[in-house]
Amino acid sequence: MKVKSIFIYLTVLIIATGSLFVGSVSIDVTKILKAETLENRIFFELRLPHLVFTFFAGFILALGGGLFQTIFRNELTTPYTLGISSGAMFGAGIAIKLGLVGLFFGVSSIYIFGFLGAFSSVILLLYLSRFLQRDTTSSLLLLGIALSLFYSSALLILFYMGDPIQNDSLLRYSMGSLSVVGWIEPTVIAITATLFGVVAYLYRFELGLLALSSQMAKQKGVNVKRVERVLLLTTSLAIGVLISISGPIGFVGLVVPHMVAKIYAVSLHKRVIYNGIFGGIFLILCDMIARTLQTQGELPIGIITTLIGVPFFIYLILKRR
Amino acid sequence: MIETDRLKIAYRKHTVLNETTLKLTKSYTILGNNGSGKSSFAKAISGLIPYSGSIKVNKKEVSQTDPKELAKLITYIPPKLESFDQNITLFEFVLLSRYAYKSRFFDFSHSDREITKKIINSLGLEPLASKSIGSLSSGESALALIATALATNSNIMIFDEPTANLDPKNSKKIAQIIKDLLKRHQILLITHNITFARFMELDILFIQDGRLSFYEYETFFCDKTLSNLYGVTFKNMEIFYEG
Repeated sequence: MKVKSIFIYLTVLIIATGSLFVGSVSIDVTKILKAETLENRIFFELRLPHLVFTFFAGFILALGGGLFQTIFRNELTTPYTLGISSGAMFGAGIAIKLGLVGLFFGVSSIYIFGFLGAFSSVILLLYLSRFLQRDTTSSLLLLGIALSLFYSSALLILFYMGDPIQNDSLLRYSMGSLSVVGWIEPTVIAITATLFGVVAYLYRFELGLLALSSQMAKQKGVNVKRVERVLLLTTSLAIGVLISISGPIGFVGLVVPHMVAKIYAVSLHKRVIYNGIFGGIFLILCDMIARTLQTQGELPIGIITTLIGVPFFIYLILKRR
Repeated sequence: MIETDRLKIAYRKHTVLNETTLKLTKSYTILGNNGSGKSSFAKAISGLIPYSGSIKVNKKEVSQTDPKELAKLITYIPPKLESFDQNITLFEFVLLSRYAYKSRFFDFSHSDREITKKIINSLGLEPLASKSIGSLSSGESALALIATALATNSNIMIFDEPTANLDPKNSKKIAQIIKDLLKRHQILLITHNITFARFMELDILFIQDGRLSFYEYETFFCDKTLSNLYGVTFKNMEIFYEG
């Protein structure tokens, strides 16, 4: 276990360092620390913030995916597959369409709309699920698909009504992107991810019990309704903020927890944070692929993760018992 | 002690139990046909499903009691070990059942771990402690469930068909463990196994069509009563299949 962890963390370090030197401009290492050079600016204002942003974005996506899988006790239920991400995207889309780029109590209104979109989807989903007659999780997934389709159409209406400039930014946004300039977004996401990680960690034993069964958690003393509410709310907050910046990045939350479970065959309460860390690494790797496949600029990251994620999603469906 | 007052339990708009007022101050074996409402009754009094009317466990209304406190008062042990997380080890599985004794947000204490170890050893599960629960046999799973009940150490324990999927040898083992628990806990045992029910030597709570009736141990176990209640012929307290 210890040797495995050291090996894994070394790999992370190597991948992270390596990713700093991948990109459309190759960097001469010796010039990085010299002030006022182009290398210095690319490194500290583009590459490093991008790396930080990518890691914490992956952290939020995979941690959120793991939490949703646990709460609903189904490998296929993640914020993305349940339509929460589409909700966030639609919310942020409205903000773009209305030209709401200003600050609201010091927070960008796009983030607020992204969160509101995610949050209202969770509320709607939970409300609708109360009327489910049977087989809650499968029906919940179907509800999620219905919500996703609804939000996609709603987003198309925004396209239809938009002018070309707005549409271009909407289109790029809806493909999912990790490009950032400067440190504002990376800082927002790093703080969000850290707070999210702390909440998940504090609730790790409740999650461990919920991962057995809802009944087991209840009879051992977990206030199931309250814990579920706290975790769903925190997840939709974190996912909402992330998606309002990056756009939808699908399937990280689906693929990563499954890989972590294979690498660390331990109880869920011990794995909670690993999901986040591995999510970060996974997204850095996907991002390196996106940046090396095309030297002119980069492929939108959402396309890469979806291309990897969909076959995996199908595999999970086929192997379900 | 369990007291109900005009207790009503509905399951999918179908009334399982209607206007039941009773007081259970000692251990009972609960018998009844399939679908008679035994499990619903058990789940309601342990706070797992909603009810109307009143259920008080040790003078505390079940639906109003803090979940941790309730877990220390009463626990329901399901017939089968079912879990989404198949990777969890037996030790961790039992340790998590100490949740009610743990301070909020903190890890389990040293004494929680010691107690868990002791329980696992006392049930002879030592060699399996670091095995994942997904790899346990039916007999081992049944013991694992009992271990979780011992770890929670509630005053009242409700066992729902603990021997349902077990071979005779494992059934006997489980039956003996549950009988030994009678010294320190109030036990409610749900079973379909007449031999098991006789072995327990407890008075009987019989549930039929949403109505509960009490029988003394001696009066219940005779061919006439059994045949009447179950609607099949019993001979020497065994089901008479040829008839």
